[in-house]
Amino acid sequence: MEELYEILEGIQPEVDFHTATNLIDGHLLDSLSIISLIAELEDTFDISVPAVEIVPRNFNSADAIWAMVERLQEEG
Amino acid sequence: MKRLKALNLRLALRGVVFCLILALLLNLLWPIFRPKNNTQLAGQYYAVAHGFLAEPENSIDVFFIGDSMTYSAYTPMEMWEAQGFTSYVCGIGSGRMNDAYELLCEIMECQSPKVVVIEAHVAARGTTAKSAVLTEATLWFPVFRYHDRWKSLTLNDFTSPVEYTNRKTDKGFRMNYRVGAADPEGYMDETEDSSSVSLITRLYLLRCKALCEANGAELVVVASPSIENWNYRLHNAMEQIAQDYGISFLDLDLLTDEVGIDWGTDSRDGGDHLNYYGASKVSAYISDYLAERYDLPDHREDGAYAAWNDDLETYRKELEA
Amino acid sequence: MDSYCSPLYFAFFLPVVVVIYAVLPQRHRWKALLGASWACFWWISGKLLVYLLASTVAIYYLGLWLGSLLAERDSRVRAAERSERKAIKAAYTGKLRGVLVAGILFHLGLLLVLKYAGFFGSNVNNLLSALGLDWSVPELSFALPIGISFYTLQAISYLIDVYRGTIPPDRDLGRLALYMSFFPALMEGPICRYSDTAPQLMEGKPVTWHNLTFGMQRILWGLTKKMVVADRLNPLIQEVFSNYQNHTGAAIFLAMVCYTCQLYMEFSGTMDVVIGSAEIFGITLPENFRQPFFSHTISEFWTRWHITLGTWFRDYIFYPVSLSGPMKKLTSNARKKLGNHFGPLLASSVALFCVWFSNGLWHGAGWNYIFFGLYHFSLILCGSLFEPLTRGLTGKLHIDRQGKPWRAWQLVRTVVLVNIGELFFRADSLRAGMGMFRRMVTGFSLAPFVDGRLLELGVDGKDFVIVAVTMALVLGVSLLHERGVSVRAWVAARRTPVRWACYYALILFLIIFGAYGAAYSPVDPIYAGF
Repeated sequence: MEELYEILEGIQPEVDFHTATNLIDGHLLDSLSIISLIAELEDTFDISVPAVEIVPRNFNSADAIWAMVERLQEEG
Repeated sequence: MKRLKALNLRLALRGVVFCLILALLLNLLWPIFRPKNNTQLAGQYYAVAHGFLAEPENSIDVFFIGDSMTYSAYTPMEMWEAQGFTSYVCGIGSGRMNDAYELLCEIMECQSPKVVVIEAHVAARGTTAKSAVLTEATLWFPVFRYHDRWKSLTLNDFTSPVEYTNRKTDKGFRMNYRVGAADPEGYMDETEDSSSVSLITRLYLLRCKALCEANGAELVVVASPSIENWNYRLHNAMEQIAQDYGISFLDLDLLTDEVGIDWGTDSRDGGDHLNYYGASKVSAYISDYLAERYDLPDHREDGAYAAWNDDLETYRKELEA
Repeated sequence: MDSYCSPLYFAFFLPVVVVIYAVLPQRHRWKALLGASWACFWWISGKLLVYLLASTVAIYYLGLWLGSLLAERDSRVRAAERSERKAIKAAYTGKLRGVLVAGILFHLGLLLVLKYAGFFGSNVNNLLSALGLDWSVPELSFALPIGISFYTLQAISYLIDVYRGTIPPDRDLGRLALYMSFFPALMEGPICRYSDTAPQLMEGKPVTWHNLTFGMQRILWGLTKKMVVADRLNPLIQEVFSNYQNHTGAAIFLAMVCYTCQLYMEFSGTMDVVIGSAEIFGITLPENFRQPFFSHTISEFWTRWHITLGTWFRDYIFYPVSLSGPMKKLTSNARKKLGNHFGPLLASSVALFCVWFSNGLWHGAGWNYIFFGLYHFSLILCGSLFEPLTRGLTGKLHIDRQGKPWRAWQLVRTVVLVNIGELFFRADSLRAGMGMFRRMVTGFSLAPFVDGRLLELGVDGKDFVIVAVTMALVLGVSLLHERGVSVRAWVAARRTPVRWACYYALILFLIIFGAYGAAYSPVDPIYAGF
């Protein structure tokens, strides 16, 4: 989880990811940032994120992203 | 259930009240937006066609309603000279049947003509839904036609009464001496085919007929001579409509010999519109035709119509000039 | 009825449909909507309705096929040992892809042939003659069914969503037909998603007083934007864009700004009419605009302008391309060499290029549209490339990036860039666009603004005053929306006299200042042409 916060802050330093719950709906993460984010997630957590996972539900908060990462790790 | 019904009724009532107040507001706007004179400067829509507004009430016997072909083909002053009835030409360039109906409504408010002639070209021409919607809106609330006058509103518009002074000595006719010879090759060749006339156009013709009947006027559809705008297919279509609706129809395009039209000299633009020479012949023919059929009064000796004799003099001077 | 802002639509067609819809029993109401939709299509495009029907039937059966493949796969996966699951999945992936690709190709093929055959033909011929070859391909041109650019995207998104398993295939042909043709969204969008819109279409919600009044308000607001501003500015825009050689740089500048206003007022106004119409039936269509001129960057602009098109391209082109196998490899290699910022950008830029090339071409068969797309592609890419640079620079200069001056500068910059883009967008050709741009920059002087020459282009001083008043009104409403205040809810919460006074004021404003009647020719619906 701490790794995730580091990644997120590296991409978008101006957002407080500990509290934000509308990263997508509030337009805090744009599509280019998402691609960077996914690239880092895939490398760091050894997962593969398919396009179908990119829905606001999975990316609106750090917790949601973490939940997705854990799920994808499990599905392997 | 009962409460639901009561609620619906209350809401419906609200809707009705809302619309009524809106109607009231639109009617309150009209005196402001209404042109205070029938001149173009005062904002009158088609000022020449609306010259009849400046004529005394119920003083015009015959109205010609139509388009540019109409105001090029009929000269009321020469009909006055020949038969002594008063007439006015209301021509709106490329006018459509809904325009004609709108004009007729305005006419019937201040005049009680004995005969109304509608141009067959207009009666057979299509109209657009957009133009018809605006006509309908205007008939309810004239402010729709004149809404654009916000640009020219002055203090005067809020205080002055309406006064129509723009009296036309040509009575809506537009004199033109240019000659553009036309080739009548193939003009009015007979055929069995028939054009189709749109439903909206027909509906407006029917409404014109009803309005004429309600006001004791006779409706005649007349096709004025034009090579470019008329043909036998249109003739057939109009003939059929006239029969179906019980309207008299006179096709001058089939009577050019009787009228005496010479396509070498009587058109101003190669058979599209007539020039003065053509108009003079058509007017002589139609005035005989109307006087013979429709029991039109002769006002030439009537003191109340002295102004028309003055107008005739002015008209004569214009001709010489 | 060629436009939602034609009186025939809002004064005749819509009320008739609403009445029929309201008197029918709930379970039959969707039939009224479908009948109205097809009638509307027939009214405009006549027999070309077969294209729509063909697309509808095609996605119906392809969707069912995809669905049954998925179901078969899943049941076999469940039955199999854990170790075999991957192999089974892989075996089905090929089949699923085949069906999906067939469906997409069918729709894209139809769109390409109908919309772009002439464009490709004439370009091939230009190329051939430039090469000195003495043969040519026929330059075919077809009648385009209304709304094909919009419903094709809806069809493709449906198929992809079924393929991805995010929605089940629809077994109800009627619902799918209505999703493809729903008349308010038929001509100019918004581009709906099956999962959001289709279920609502079948509900047959009653026409409530609330929905009826809210819908009518929204329609009225849209008509005001369209008829008072977009139509009133039309003569100037037409004159300058069709004879730009005869006009000063100042006139071209003015026409560019007017066109940007016109486009926004026309398109967002039409969207208000469209969304308001749907609201009457209790259907919420997706919003297409979110105060676009308050954007700080071009990339933000595209999340606020024609939103449904932007999200479509994002979800069905941008993400799939940037997350495809080869691109992922590229990204992971590039990250090692270029670092975390520029590495992923490489793959993203390839995907972005695809998005913006498609976006430009989607708007029409013309190089100026392609230029328009690539112009925005370059702006967005530059924005990202220089992001570390500007971040560093502003940091060194101690500029507060959240401060008002910097935000204002971003706002102005974005508006200017958008205006320039729209100049090319509206120009008759790419060459004309270039010519206009050159003339505007080199031939610009302030003199024409002072001597009144700009008021002789078909839009006079009084027209500009009314346009300015209306734009100020729109700006005020936008500011409130930006702060999260719903103006309609505010008005609706007032007492009757205040509320009605607002309505009457707007209605009379529209009736008096709308540019309709014999003296005006309204602008054709811009997006229906795409």
